[in-house]
Amino acid sequence: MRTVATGSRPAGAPVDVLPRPAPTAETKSKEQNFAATTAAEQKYELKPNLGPSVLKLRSPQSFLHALQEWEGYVTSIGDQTFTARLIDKTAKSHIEEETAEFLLDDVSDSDRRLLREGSIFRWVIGYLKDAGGSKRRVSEIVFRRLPAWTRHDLLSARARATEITKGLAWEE
Amino acid sequence: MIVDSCLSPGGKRPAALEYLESIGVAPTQVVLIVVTHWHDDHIRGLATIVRECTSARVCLSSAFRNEEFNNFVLAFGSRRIKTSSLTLGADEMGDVLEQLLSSGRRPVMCLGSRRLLNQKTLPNGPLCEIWSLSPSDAQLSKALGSIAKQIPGLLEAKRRAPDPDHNDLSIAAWVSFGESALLLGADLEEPGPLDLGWSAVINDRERPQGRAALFKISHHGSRNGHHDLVWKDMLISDAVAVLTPYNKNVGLPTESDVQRITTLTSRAFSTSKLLPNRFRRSRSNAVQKTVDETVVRITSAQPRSGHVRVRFRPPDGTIEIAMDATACRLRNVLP
Repeated sequence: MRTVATGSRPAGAPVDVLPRPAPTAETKSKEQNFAATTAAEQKYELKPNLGPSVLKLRSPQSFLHALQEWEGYVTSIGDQTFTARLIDKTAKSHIEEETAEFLLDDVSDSDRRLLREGSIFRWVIGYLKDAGGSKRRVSEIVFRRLPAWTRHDLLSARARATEITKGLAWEE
Repeated sequence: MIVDSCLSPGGKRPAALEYLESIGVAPTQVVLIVVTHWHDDHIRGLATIVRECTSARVCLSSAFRNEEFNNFVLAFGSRRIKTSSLTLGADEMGDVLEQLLSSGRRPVMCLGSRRLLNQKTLPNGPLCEIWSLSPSDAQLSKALGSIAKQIPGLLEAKRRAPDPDHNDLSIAAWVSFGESALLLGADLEEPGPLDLGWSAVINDRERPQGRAALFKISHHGSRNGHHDLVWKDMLISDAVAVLTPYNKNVGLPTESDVQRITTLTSRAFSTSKLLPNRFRRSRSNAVQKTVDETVVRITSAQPRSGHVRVRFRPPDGTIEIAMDATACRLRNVLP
């Protein structure tokens, strides 16, 4: 948790959550170049895959341009990894085409409680772009927060199961 | 007879129906459909087969007589989970049950040593018998007990149906015609106790006797699906053996599986090779690089679809084997 510096300050003034470092000649030059060319993109590549928990801090002005998306379900959970079957949603597939093993550490703390065999998630790879034009390649795993089984779900399944079981006449 | 179902490489139509139509057999000529178990890779397109093969008797595990089991299947269907791409197995089985109910067709119960068919296939041809060899009573009880624990509870977060343990309800089948026989192993495994898995089959005195010339190897050739006495007591020497490879967590068959099987028979085949590629489709450089940075391991889950055709020629049952371009000898299955 970040702490905000306390103490008196003029009303309405913005609060620096983190103190800004003093600008160097290099950063001044970059900022000038960037401001001068609105269509310019930062040329240096930022390190991708900072983890899903970091990605959730994206600003409202950023958006994810997905290159590849899978829907997956967990098939087994180990001490440090979990395995899942993946369906390629980008290719509009309906069958599991890949099996992958992921690190448990790559699952956000808030999603950990959703992780069990059969849990369903989305895995998206793409570019996170912000309004300033910068972009970075990211990988995001988000577990589906499917609704819970309701009383209606369970009772209707049970009722239909009873009808089918009683209705099927088996050969003797 | 059709045993289980998968989709053709185009993904539109059950492969079994496409093949039969290619050799001039209409779906209405199919007399028996055996659903060995309801893993996704064994039942894709099954509802279509049941619907089109209107003359076929449908053989199901006796588990489907159990209300709790049917409740499990229906609870995990897309009608209640609303994520249809991941509820395939449950949905296919649910559709099959609904079709049988609405059409009034009477399913045939499969248990150990139960004869499913006894008829001449051609007017002057040999008598054909088809038997289910499993599940045993003990296997059924164990599976139903396990299923009961997995029924979802109220307010539990929805998820995909868990895969069955140990292929508990898998139906192995014996087909004999005249002097020839074949053993279809489905995904039956050998967990150890004498009243379960392959041990239960071997020890069943009521099962049909004889030795099969063709073995559809169970559970993708895995060690779990192997029993020495199957090869020793139920198969002829150097029987023709066919398996389908599979990629779940570990590719099957493994190198040791291939070694084991090829020492038991020189005539072992696979419907396709295990893929060396990690991906089923080509991916962009950016995606491949990110995948490498994210996952511990990724493998293609679906080997290419191929087939091995085995024909028994009258009058002496000489065996002819043909493979399409995707199939291979088992010794060449590994990448």
